Amino acid sequence: MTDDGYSLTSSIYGEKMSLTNATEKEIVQKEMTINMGPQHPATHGVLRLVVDLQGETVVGIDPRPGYLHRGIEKWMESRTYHQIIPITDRLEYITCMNNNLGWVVAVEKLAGIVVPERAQFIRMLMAELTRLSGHLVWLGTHALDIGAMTVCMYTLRERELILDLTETVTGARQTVSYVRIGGLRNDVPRDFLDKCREFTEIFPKKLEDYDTLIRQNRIWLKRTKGIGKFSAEDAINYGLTGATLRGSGVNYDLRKVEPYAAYDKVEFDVPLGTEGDVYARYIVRINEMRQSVRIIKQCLDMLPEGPIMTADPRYAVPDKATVMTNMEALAHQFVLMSKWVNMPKGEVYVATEAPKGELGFFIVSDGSGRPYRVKIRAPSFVHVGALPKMVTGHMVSDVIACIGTIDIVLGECDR
Amino acid sequence: MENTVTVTIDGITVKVKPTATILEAAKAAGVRIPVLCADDKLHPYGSCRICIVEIEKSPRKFTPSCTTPVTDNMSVKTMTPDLAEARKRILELLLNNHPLDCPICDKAGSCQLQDLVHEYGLGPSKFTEKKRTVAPSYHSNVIDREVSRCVLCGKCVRVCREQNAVGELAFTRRGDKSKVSTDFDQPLDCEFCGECVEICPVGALTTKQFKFKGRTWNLERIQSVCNYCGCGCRTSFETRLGRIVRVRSGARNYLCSKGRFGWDAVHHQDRLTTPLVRVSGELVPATWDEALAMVVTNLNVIKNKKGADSIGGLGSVRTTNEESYLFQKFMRTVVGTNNVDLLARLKVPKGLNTVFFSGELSKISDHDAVLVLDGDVGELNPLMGIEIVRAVNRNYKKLVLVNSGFNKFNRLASVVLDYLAPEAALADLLPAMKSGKGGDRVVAAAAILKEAASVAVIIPGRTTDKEFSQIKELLSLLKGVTTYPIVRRSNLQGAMDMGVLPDYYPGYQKVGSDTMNRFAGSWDAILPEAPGLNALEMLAGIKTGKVSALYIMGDDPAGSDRGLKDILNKLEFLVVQDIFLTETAKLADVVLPACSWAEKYGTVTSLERRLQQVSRAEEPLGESKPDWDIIQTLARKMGGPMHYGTPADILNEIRSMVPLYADLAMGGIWARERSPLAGADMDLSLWSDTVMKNEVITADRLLFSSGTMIGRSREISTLCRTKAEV
Amino acid sequence: MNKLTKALRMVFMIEIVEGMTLTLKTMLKPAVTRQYPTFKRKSFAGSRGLHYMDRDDSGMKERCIGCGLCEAVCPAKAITVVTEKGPNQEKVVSAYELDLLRCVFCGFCVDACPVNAIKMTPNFELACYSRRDVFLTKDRLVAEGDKYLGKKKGGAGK
Repeated sequence: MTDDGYSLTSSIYGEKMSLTNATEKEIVQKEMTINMGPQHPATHGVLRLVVDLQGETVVGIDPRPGYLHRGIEKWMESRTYHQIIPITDRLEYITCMNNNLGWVVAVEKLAGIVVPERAQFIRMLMAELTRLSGHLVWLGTHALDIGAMTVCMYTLRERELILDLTETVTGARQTVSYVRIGGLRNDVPRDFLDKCREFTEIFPKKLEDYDTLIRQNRIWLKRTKGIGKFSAEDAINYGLTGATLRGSGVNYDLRKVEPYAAYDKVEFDVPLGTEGDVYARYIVRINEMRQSVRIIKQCLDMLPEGPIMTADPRYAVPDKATVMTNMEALAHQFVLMSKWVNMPKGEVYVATEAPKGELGFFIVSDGSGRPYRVKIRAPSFVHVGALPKMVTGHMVSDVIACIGTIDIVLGECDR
Repeated sequence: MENTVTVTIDGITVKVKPTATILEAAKAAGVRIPVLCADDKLHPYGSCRICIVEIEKSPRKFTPSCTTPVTDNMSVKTMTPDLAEARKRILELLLNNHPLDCPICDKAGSCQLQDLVHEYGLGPSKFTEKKRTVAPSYHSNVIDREVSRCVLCGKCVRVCREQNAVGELAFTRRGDKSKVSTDFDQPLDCEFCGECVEICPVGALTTKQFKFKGRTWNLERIQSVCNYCGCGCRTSFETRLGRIVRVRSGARNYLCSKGRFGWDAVHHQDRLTTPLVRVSGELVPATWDEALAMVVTNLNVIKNKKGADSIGGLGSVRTTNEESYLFQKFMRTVVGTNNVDLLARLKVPKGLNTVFFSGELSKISDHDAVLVLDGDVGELNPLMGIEIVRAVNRNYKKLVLVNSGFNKFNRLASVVLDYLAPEAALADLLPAMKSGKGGDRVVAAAAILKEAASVAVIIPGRTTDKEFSQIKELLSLLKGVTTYPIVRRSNLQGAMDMGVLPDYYPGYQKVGSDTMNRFAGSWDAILPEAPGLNALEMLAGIKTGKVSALYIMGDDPAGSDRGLKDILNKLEFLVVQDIFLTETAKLADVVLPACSWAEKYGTVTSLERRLQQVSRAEEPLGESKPDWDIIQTLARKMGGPMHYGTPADILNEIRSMVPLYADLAMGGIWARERSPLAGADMDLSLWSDTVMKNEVITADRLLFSSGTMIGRSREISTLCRTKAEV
Repeated sequence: MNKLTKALRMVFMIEIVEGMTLTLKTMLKPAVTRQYPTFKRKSFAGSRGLHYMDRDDSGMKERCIGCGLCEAVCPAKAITVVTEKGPNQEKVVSAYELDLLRCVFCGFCVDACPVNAIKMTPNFELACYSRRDVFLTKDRLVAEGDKYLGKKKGGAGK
């Protein structure tokens, strides 16, 4: 295989052998390299895979990410900490709220900002709603890739309910830019809580429906059980996180291990798989959705009253009403909006449990209003690295199942 | 060292001079203390009280750090909860009368008050009283005063008095009615340097020029060099959407009114945007190809008909070193004549680069005494003037002034020698130095000069032969002399270094057979052997028919001297390369539009012989091109091998050809000992009573009296009260 | 027993039948798909769509005072505010330009505006035929505001 990956012709004709002359046996024995993606619809974006095949068996796979590289980390260096919030929306564009939250939690740790309780609960509530939406997209597309078309119609129907909820709160369906350093953009509207409660009543029933459709479906089982197996040890060594890791039976959930927002105040279980195959991860994610609903319900019950922005005027974006009447607020508004706060010098790494896995932000601060360097630990990127190990030895059609099961989004992978 | 004291600031121990303040000690320790009214340029004042600190074992709770000197083994805390709370209250009181002007205040974003309020996280104020409002003052030239925004730190008052020795601004009224104003609230009548605007921590002083033109956070800053006099002050062009909106001092040191406000000539509507050629008596726009073809044809015809020495070239002091170098190379290699010179040599101080080499301006104030032989130094080289004031006001040094008139230096001087010309003053001073005889003042001056272990001597820009020999004699009587010749024209030093001289190659290498061979080899061209005509000889040669064509790059002889118009009209062919349609350009057969200095890259050499970088802040206007590019294109069309991609390529060639520049780093100064002319008994200046009289003068200020560019600055024109033509 | 059930399910393809039943039941329910553009969902209050510029209290001109905070905070650099000095030393907004092709609809400009001049409508239908149409000038922004606010008033019955 050559570097450019387009080695179909060279590997065959280079050996002075033409397709017409070769016997079927020779072709089977001959290793063939084919290029999959970056426009392949099942690669969930623009992932390019260079697959070495022995007949229909995958003997090697080489992921070539980078087609959606926008230089986000570099871009962040030229923006203030505040302006980076919309940029994080463009990382994992299915579950923007979790990216917002990950960034903001990291900045808050760097600056030592105390966030009021109500804001923490709303953040958690919105993050779990978004997690549901992310998992629904995953389930729909994963099933679609494997051949169960109907599921996608159902999951997107429910996802629409979540997006409507998101829009009533944040004003946008996906790229929400809702979480602010030190708090939230705005409080939730009055009718949101009722709507949300209504949704938590409906949603578990819908989950049953998805189970009815595929959980015991024999094709589904054949396509998922025993495919893409990862032992617990391998999963840890490969740096897998999130449901991909927990499918192998490793109990590691950042919401439990290092609670952020208000995850230490609610009860939920961490679903675990045992087999570490595609099916186990499917079960884990379905159960995670049930747990998310549980968290949302607790949030709705426990939601405290109070402010949604930190009390520290250095970081709190002032209330609009005071800006043009109060000199102090006006000064804060100008500094915050034009150049942001001179942050403390130092480095910080904070990881949060995004739907895809551990989303970490490593920030180096030089004491100005803009980060000196940001490194994003993107779960999708790490998971793509596990593809070769996962797929090798399986059929070529299992590549699709494995891409689905690691649940990647290329916006985050390539950054 | 016995002369230090040990101070501990926030646990960091430093040794500082006993005269240092706590603020200076903190700076040495790397600890930041917030300030509003303190500045390195100014004496301690202590009006804002933001810089308070806690001193251990002091009976006083809070002490202002900017006015308190250190004592041995002092231990200082700069940040405690109490201090933070006290500073908050101080800021709250300052904000009490501060209008909600941030949205329309040009300072917002770089406002020290705003930053401090944010840094200390002030909550809503307890005070609900009505804010004091004072009517703004818009009736001064150039500078507006938004008095309501003032925090009464007094920086503007002090910088005007201490640094500029002008003292135009002062506090008037008392108590809560006090404000910064002028005598009887009259419009400002000062040097209009704008230093008060620069130093204002809030937006109380703003310039009319920059008003509402942009916000500080979206300005792009380009470091460059001022091109209005020989001082070569570092400037920072601030651009918005690709256009300059403001110029500030790049070194945070000083800018005069020309440097700060005079840049708007770049945006003048009369800028040339296309080449012009003369068709049946009229100058009409043409393409570059047409214009250059006309130049090539005519120069070639004249060269073939009358020889290369019938063509002359006049260089400029407003172009960069690279362009000057290329210009003389073009004349010598492509045209084939040594007739290349600077008319600005008429304004070179006698003895510059042979006897007098300027020292570093920033070191004037280190000398024990300053002898100023030309009282107009503040107008001619403003930065030099500021350094003299600094020597007296800040370092308490003695000033001996020779001045025929009366200006700010008279108030600072220890002794004023009030003579009409330096010649007369020196005639009295020299005997006093030698024998101690003479009038009271001369004797006092001589005593100061004799006593001083080091003297900075400001040499006039023009001296007679007698004065020249007198000065030389005087210098031999003084100890530790540093000379500071006044050089008015901007890149005069650079242009001379680059060999825009008929008898010297670049680097003051005398035209002769051995140097010719060396340069001919490096330039790969045949060079003329004999030295060429100097600028005056060229002008005279036009009358006699010896010179038939002139190539003038960036100079305007006809604008300075009307009499030259008739002479230039006699030329068969005249090419002018300039940024405006000057009086000279109006006579030209071909006019080539050049870029202004804000639109090109290159280097310039200041009167300190400091090599500095000029940077492009705007795109070239219209079809105008940098001078080096024009000359290079022309040279190629005439068959000369010139292939430079950027001015940096030219600078590399200069470094290989000119020993003075070989290892001269950007910002470095070439040593006087390395000049081939150092100590030689010769003179680079030209002298003529008849040519280049400055005919356009402004009645009030010498600072604005010259120049193609400064005459076209709108802001500066508002400062010139009367404009008389002689 | 368990094994028997499993075998029976296997033979009679029970899970397929269950799945198909769900599909059939859903088929009989009303469709959830909205037939855009024939049917348009009611927009939510506070949705972030096309921008508009509010008028000042006099109603004669835009509310914007040209502080430039929106331009400073815009992460996509979509906004350009050009100001100049008016005849009475006041700050005049000579140009307010918003390039929708750059805009990411994060709403930061709305948050930053100290005088509530720039705001957003829930209008998300921004497709147009030329690039000029997506380049919003000050006048267009004010016109959008008139259009949006007028419609809202009309809708309320006034």
